[in-house]
This record gives sequence, C-alpha cells and structure tokens, in this order.
Amino acid sequence: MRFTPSLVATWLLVAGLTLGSAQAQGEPVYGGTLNVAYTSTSPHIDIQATNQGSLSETAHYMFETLFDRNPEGDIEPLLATGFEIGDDGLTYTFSLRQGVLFHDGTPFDAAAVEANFRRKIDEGLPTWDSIPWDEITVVDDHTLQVTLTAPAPHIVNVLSAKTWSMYSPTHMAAVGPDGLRTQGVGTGPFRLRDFRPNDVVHLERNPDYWQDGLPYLDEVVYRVIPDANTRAALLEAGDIDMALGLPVPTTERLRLDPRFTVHSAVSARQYYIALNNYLAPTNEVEVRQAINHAVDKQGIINAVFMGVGGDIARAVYMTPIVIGYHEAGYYEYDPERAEQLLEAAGWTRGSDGVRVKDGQRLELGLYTRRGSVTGDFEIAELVQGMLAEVGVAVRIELFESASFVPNVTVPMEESTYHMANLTWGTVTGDAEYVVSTIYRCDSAAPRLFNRAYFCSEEVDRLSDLSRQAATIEERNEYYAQIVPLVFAEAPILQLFDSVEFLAASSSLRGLYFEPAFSNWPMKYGWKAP
Amino acid sequence: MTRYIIRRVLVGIPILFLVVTLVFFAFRLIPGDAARILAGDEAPIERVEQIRRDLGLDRPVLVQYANYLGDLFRGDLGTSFSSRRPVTVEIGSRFWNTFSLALASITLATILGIAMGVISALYRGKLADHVVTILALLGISVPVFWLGLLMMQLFSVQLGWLPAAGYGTWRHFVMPTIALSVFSIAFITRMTRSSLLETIQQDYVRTARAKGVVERLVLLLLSLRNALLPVTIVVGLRFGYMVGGAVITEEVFAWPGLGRLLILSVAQRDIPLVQGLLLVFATSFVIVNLLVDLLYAFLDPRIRHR
Repeated sequence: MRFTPSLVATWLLVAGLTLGSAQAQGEPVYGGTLNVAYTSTSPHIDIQATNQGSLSETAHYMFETLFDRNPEGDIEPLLATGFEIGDDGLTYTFSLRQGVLFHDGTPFDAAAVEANFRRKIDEGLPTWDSIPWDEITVVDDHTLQVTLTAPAPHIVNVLSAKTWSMYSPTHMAAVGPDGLRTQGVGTGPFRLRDFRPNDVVHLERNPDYWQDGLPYLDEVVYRVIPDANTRAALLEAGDIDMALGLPVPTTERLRLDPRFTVHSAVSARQYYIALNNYLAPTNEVEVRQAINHAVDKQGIINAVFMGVGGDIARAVYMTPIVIGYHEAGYYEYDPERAEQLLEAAGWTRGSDGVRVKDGQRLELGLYTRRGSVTGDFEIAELVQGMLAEVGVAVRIELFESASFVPNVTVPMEESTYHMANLTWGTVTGDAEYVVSTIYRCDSAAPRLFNRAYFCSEEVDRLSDLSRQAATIEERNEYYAQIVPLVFAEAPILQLFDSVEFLAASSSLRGLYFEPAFSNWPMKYGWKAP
Repeated sequence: MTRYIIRRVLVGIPILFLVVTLVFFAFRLIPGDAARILAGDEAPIERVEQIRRDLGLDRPVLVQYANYLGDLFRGDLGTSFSSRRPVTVEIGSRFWNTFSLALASITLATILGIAMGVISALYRGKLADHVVTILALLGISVPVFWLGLLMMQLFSVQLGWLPAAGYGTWRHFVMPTIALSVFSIAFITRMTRSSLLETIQQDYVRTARAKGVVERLVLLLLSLRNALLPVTIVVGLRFGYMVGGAVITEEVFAWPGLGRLLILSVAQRDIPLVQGLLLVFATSFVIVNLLVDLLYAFLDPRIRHR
C-alpha cells in the first residue's frame, strides 16, 4: 500500500470543499499571526499522555504523526511514506520519510519512532492497548518493522491519532516525562515558543519544515478564554481570528455578519445516555427500547442546539466519520410504540401515571453533570419530560464534574444509576476502539468504558473473529454484523452525533477540521489580505 | 511596637496551620478523584491506578498529611498534579497578575470611594447626595460578569478603544480594574459618608463649630482623619478579598491570576495547588490585617499596640 505524496494540496482542496467556503481560496499569503481563543483547560502539552481534545488542538502545529487524517476521516501518510503488511498479517513494515528534522535538529528516523513507541507502551499511555504489540525492530534508518501477536490492520488509523505524535528522542531523554508536560519538540510546521499552563500556547514558524514553502503563518497564539461571551467579544472586536467552543445562539448570530464565517462539521463525538443493562428495570430490553422510542432526538437538537448542533445518531457510539462505521439506524420517535412495548412487558400505568410492575414503580435515576459538555443538563431535563409522557419517572441527580466520573465508573454490582448522561469520542477514529473498549463484556467499567454494562456472547464471539481479520475490509464485515446486534439490544439511549462549530474571520484560508479529536488546526492556512 | 508585630506574626502561624489542615482533610472528604480526572474520562483503570501511585495518593491519608507538613516546614509547597511543576512556580507566575490588579482596583476604590463619600456627606440631603447614594446602590448590586460583558460590548466591540480581554499593557487593566473595584467603591462611599456624619456629631467638632470655624473646613480637616478609621478596615478587608477572590473578574476578562487558577485546580482536584493557593490567600489576609492594625495606630494616636 502506497500513498501519493501530494497530501497538502489534497488537504487544502478537501478542506475548501468540506467546509463549504464559497469564496475562492486564492493565492497563499505569507506572514501574520493567527490569534485563537479556545475554551479548554490546557494544564500541559504532553499529547502522548492524554486523549483530551483540548490538548491536541495545539499539538497539531508542533507534532506530527506517522499517518494523518483528512477531514473525511480518511488516512493519509505524513511522517511515514507507506507501509507493507507481511503475508501472516502480523508484520508491519513502515517506510519513513527522509530528510525530516525535529525542532532541536535531531533527525527523524526509525530509532526515533521506536523510542516514541516504547514510551507509549512502557508508560501505558492512551490507546497503546489498541495494538497487540510484540516486537519493534529498526531495520534501517528509515524502515521500522513492528511485529504483532494478532493481526491489527487498524494500526495505521490508530497511529494517526494525535496521541501517537512523534517527539524528539533527544528531547525526551533530556527532560523526562515531567518535562514533556511543559516543553515540546516535534517535527511540525510550528515550534513552541512559550507555554503557560491554562493560559497561552505561543507557536512560531519552523523555518526548517520538511514541506517546502510551508507553513504560511509566522506565529500562532492560542489563548485560554474561559467565558464564551468573552471569546465572542474578542472575535467581534477584531482581537482574535478564531473562536472555538461558542454556543450555537452566538454562532448563529455571527453567521449573519459578513466579517465572520461559521464553519461546522460532524465529529467523532456522540451524545448518549448509558442505560444500566445490569440494574433492574433497565436490564429489560423492552424498557430500553421503549426509552429510545420515547425520546424525540430531533426535538432535543432543535431545543438545545437550534436544530444545527447535531445529527441523529445512527449507530451505537459510532459516528459516520469513524473508519469501520456501519449504519444501524435509530429508534424512531414514537411514544405510542414506547407505551406498547412497556405494556407488553407488564408495566402498567399506576394511579399517578407512573408505570408499575409487581409493585415496582418504573422510576429511574439519571446521573448528569451541568455544563461539562454543552447542553448536558438541558438534555437530561428534556429526556425526563419525554419519558414522563410514557409513564417513566426520571429522577435527575446532578453531580459536579469531578465527582460524576467516579460515580459512573464502578463495577456493575456497585452501580447505582439507571441512566448516565455521557458523550463518547472515538479518539482513534477507528471502530476497533469502539468494539474493544465499549461493546465487549470485558470492557465493562471501571476497567474500560462500557458503563451500560452491555454484554452479548454473540458480539464478543464476532469481535474475537474480527481480531483475526488481516485487512480492514474483512474486519469491517464483522463490524457490519456486530453493530446491528448491539443496536437491537438498545444498550444506550442513542441521541445524536455532535456537530462542531468554529467562528472565524472570513479572511482565513486553508482551514482544516480533524474529526477524531474535533480540532480546527490551521497549520497550513493563511490570512487573505 | 516591635514586640506587638512579632506577637501578631506568631499568632498568624496557628491560623495558617489550621487552614492547611482543614483544606487537606476537606479535600479527602469531598467526592472526586484526582487520578481519574488527570487520566481523563476515557482512560483504562490501569492508567488511573498508575497515576494514583505516581501522585502518592494510594498511601494512607495520615502518611500523606505528615509528608505534606514535613515538606511545608521546609518551604516546599509540593508539585502541581496537573502541570507537574512546583506549586511555588505555578503561584509565583500568576501572583503578580492578581496582585497588580488588586492594587490598581483598591487604589481606584479608595480614591473614588472617599471622594464620593465626602461629597455625599457635605451635601447631605441635597441632589449630589442622592446621586451618589443611587450610584453606590447600583455599584453594590451590579453583577460583576454582567458589568464586564457590558463594558466589553461598548468599549471593545462598538468603540474599539480597549482590548476585550487578556493582559499585557495598561489598556488591558482598565476594564478589569473597574469591574473589580465597583463593589468596593460603593462600599467605601457608604462607609465614608456614614462615618463622617457620625464624627460630625461628636463634641470636639461641635466645639470647633461653636468657635466659628468654617463648616466645610470642620468637616474635612477635623473630622475626616477620625472618620477614616473604620474606612481603613474596609479598605484592608476588600484588598484581602481582591487578592483571593477576583475569581469572576479574572474569568470574564481571561486574566491569568490566582482566582482562575483556584477554580481550575479545584475542578481538577489538584490538591497541592489548592492548598498552596489557600495558604497564600490566608497569609495575605493575615498580613493585610496586621497592616491595617498598624495603620490604625498611626491614624489614631490614642490607640497604642503593646
């Protein structure tokens, strides 16, 4: 498998098309500073150590991965030029790009990649466990061979995730893991000039960048601006060029102003409410299906996100940009059908309208946060109202963010929630991550992320088989069987795929959306005069 | 005097010890798990446990407490969980931002507050008094974040005079200083007015007036110095609050100060950082109180500290 090297041109073209900017991109212009306000906390910059999308936002400028992901979620080569799979499906030989230097002058070679892989594995850093590692061998300066204990054709997709960024091995050895939290040396088009935790990431052009003529901008400054109204004011006052994480009413207002362009794209993040498949009464599949039928997903999107912030989810946890995605559909909003399902399962209306079976009221505890992700609490309230219509009483329990996660990350025997209001991001952009870490019986929380405690022998059996598949295509055929099986069991209340927004000055060109982490890095962009 | 200062400083130590101890154990009682937060929502349990070991959170609470106190006595505030930098560096890098904003705000509040209070007392019951009273009422009631956003819309978005947020130049100071000082201006105004009016009714003032000293001179020269005594306390306390409690102002204007750091560190259960911050806030309160007491003696020679 080989890729064409003209990825930048493809990217800009794709970006232009996907983001639907009507204006011509025009001739690139050199120079200028890009000022960005973003919402998130950024306590450190060690992107290898975390799945957090906020950190990868600036990592795109500094660090590069072996493979990269275009706005459609397809994989393209970056620091690798290609790879070959051995006949046994267990040996992967990566050819690495030549003539690439890290910011500190260290050459990028096979030994550097090995050092980075070793750190990920030795320190147990995010998604290392998606790959069944056996051996890593440096064949020559620019060839690295990886042997696996089982086939893993998704390895390329995983390695394109920002958590698999390549750091300078010299730098890693010099500063140690703690030093990597505040100092970064990669191969990217920009170098780190200044980092102040939770405040500023200041980047400057890398004059020795391996792609000739790139990047266009001289400097890039990301500032943490916690208040959304302040971010909007900064953009409107012309102090910044891009504002991330604005609420939908604000982006809809800015859309009317020709000075600004609002970009949007579906991400790998899905809003869902885990239904506890272990605890009664949500352990009954009819109850779970009824809950899915009783909730008007489009109604929620309309009410909370002005109709534009989400697409109804059509697969459990997966969004269409995920490689290996299979559309299973969704439970139509049909309160009557919900009532029929509940009646058939023996849940009849009591005198107060709440359904009862064997003296047990159909009352569910819904655990949620407020403001941890946009609209979370509002969604909980709307779901509560909709379920009341069909005779299901919902008791909302609000947690502060830091105490929410421990409460919904417990062994199933200790779980106390019927419903947990969550979002899921497929950070590797590959369905294997979903199947292995949230579909399987052995992925039940607290070990992994299956907080619904969904467990199906058939899904596990097919998943085991899929792990023997040597190619993505073959593997995806198993996924096409697995996804409908999971869907039929309604392990979660499947809500909607998140649509991400960026409000930016209309003069920006070459914007790019990275869907797995929902980032908008403008590393190859420029400012039109 | 020197003995008094030494005694006051010594009294401050048990207070700080109490603060440190309370914060330490309070953080073990409230729900929330630093290791889990650091690892992120989507982290396997092995990673969470590993982080817990790295941070020493798997050890018994009393052992952690003893270690913490030991480090503290050596002047070591520990290492931030989230940035892995020394707490002293984290706080030190932001302390000046908060302190300078507090200093600008308290200066503005003191000058404006006393001036408006004097005007109000001078023209008691007249139009100027009513205007000042209404302004003060507004100042006490207005929510800081709303005022901040309103100023931003006017001065940054519409007029383009001032940067909407951030820090760096004197222009960045203008709006946060106003936002942070509005409550204090109003408070000091009210305090100055009532204190002045009270002082005027005292015997020595009545004597001066009976002797025929010009009314306004009486008010300003004879009464103001005494009337300012209670105002001093208010100024001191407000300054203490500004150092530790400019949370909303810092949040709205993205001012990288200690208040924002506190919010972040509590949300991330960054225990060493929270402890360090609260220690700084408590210390500054102790120092400010001491300074106020000393100033008191200076303003009122009848008070002598022994």
